[in-house]
Amino acid sequence: MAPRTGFFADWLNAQLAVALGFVVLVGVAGGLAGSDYFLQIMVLAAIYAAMGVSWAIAGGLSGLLLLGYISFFGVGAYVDGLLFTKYGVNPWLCLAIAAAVAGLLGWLIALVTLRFGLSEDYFAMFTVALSQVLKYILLNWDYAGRATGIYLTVVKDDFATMSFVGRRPYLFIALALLAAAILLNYAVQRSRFGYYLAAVRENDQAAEALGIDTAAVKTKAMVVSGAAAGAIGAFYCQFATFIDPKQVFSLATNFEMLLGPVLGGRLSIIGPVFGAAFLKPLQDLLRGWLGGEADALYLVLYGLVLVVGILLLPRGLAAYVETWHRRRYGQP
Amino acid sequence: MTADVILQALVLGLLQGGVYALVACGLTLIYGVMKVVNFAHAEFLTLGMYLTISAWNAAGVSPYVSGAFVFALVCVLGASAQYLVIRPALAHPQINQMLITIGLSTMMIGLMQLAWGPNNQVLNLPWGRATLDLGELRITYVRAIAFGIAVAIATAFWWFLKHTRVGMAMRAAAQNPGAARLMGISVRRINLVTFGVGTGLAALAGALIAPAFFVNPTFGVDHFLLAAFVIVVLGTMGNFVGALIGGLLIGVAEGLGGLVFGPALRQLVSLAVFVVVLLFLPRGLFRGRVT
Amino acid sequence: MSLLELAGVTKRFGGLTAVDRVSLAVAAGEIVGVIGPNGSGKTTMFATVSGFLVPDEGEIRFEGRRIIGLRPSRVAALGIARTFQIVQPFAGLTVLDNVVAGALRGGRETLATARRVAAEVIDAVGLGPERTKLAGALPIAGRKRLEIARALATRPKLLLLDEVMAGLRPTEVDQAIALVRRIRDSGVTVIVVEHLMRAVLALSERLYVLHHGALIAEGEPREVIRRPDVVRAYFGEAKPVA
Repeated sequence: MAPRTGFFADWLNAQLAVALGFVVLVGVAGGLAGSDYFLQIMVLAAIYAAMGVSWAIAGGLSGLLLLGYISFFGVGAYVDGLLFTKYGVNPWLCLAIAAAVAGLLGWLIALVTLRFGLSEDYFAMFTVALSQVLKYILLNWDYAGRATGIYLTVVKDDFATMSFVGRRPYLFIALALLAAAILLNYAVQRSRFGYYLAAVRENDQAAEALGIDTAAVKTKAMVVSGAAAGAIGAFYCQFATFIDPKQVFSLATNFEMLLGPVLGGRLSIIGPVFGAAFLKPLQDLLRGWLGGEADALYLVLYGLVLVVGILLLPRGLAAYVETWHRRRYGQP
Repeated sequence: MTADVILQALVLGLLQGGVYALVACGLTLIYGVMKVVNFAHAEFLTLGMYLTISAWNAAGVSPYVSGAFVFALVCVLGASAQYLVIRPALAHPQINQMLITIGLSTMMIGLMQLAWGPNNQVLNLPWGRATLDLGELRITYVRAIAFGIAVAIATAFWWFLKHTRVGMAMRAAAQNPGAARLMGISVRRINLVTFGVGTGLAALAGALIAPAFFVNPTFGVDHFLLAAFVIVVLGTMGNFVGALIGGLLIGVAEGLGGLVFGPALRQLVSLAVFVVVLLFLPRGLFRGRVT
Repeated sequence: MSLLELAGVTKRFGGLTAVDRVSLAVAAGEIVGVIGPNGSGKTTMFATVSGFLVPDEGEIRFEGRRIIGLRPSRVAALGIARTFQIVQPFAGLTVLDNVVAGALRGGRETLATARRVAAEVIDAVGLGPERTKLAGALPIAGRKRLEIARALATRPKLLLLDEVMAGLRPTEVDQAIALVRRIRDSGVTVIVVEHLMRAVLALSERLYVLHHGALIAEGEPREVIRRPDVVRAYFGEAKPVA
């Protein structure tokens, strides 16, 4: 059977189109639709989606067991919070600075863990432990407000300082960040770096033997994923207008953010996007309805979805879609 | 800061360490045999506490009696969890396994909250606050007994691993599952038993500390999970003796750390030790496998 | 000057000396064979040359420069490629992508060039029709060819082949022998570690024999395999091969 051609014949292209199309759709929906309540949910979903797509570079494509990802997010949030409230640094600029700082953190983590030759399990635990160390440091740091955290005051709409009274402008920015993350992931997968990531993920000994410096590749992956999360965290600070260590270094949030890529398909672009787009609002709505005492029921359901989801879809939903796509477009 | 205060902190830390050791032993056993990082481990401790408290409230059964039944019950529950949830994932990538145990942890917290409510509970033994006074040193009987039994059981379990057939089968499966299978050991069954016993030990620790602490659904994860992981890594993943000694070490370190930095930062001591050990001593202080 | 030179290379694992003061030299353009019973240290020797293991003693020189201590990707960048005894394909990637990964030569080639080179190499080893197949779906013979193709795509000066004939049917072995000859004719020096005597005799211009990590014989293949100590190493008791 001769392979079909066309833009969509290529799995990456197809994903890019679908993912970006979805972002535009949500943007339009958000532009028209109503309440601050729903807009809030959409912004958070977009943030989770962006985090998932970004994580997928180091944790999916590269195969690193990056279990503790929220460190970068929290660091980014605090960079923005501190620079904006204490020094009046423009939040748009803070996005870039937060990305740089978080990227540096990623570089340091890679340096340290590669230098000490940590195996997978230890690396995973190290990244989780690090997030809690950062939480504890910030909980006890007067300059950062300790447990009270940092507050932003928003009086009126001001684009220059990324401050808005309503939720809608935040949604557009969040979607822009998500689109950027999607494009980043796509560009990575299209590039030589993408090949190195795939090789390292599949078999890092064989990759070394082919002249691929696996340490450099892993480091770069950590920097890229970290930087992206930092920028997203910085945006979160502006959006939430209040951050504290327990919030932005929360392990619960950390694992929630991984649900999208893991259940959706961490080697794909659409996996993290649709994973978060489906799961996060579901989670928020469930919490809202069940709330209070039924919080326990929510926990049980959430745990159940996680367990059953992973058992049923070990490679994530997108992997199966990809197989279908391969067959449809003629690859054996 | 007088010598007495330091000694008090040290001894209290040591007593706590004994219980830590028991919890860590279960965790390291599970990792040693199955190579699974059981993020839900602390929930089994919490469960043990709740079951013991219920037995006391319902029928006045002493925790030191119900402990045995709690152990047996949780062994079965743990084994069931292994069979249903973990075994299917053993062939999957690591991250899946880790997230599954995290999902299990969340489910258990939710279930315990449904069963027992979110509020603090405690097992009030009539002599629960009685203390043993040795000079300036003051320790509660419940903590001393918890320590004694915990260490005794951990030691007994170490003996079990070394000298019984099942124990040796566990060690074989830990070292080389393939070879163990070839020698007729049902690795599948060993995994079941291992997870069951490992979580059972955590529950047993919970039974022992029930008279000494207020329990709520997140008690385990709040107060024991981190220490358990630090100990397991410090004592070398899979090394039972390491878990025992590591437990005592961490208990003391936390006790002294709490004294120096204040109680809120006790966990930071464990975290700091954790990070340092992960970097500089990822193989832990001891060598190799389940011994 | 030799392309590759080992001088007194020794590698120990605890009490076991896997490679025992091995010295050998390979000139550019040769096909050199290395044989020896199982456990004689052949693969360990390859591992030290390609940078996966660091020898405890000795020197390894490639084109005159010392390569001990370089990480494997550096060694590969210098022009040494290897296959693995147990094939290590990138199972989740297509055959083409597998080879492109090698053809990129650690970033020294553009994607376009790499894809072109990869396609050529794939055709050269006879895997053309399977180009878009997932590597994990190939049978063992295909995976062996893929292993060779991937290594070739890095355009090495020296190719270390580790038991590529193992598990192949006789016709496949003939094809493999022809392929190795073509590889050498295209300008690549080859060291072949092999168990299959037929292939060894067909390919090698010179032969080294390892036993318990040490070099026990060296020379013209047909002559070497008849030596009593070589025969003894393989069969235990002196019994002529034929």
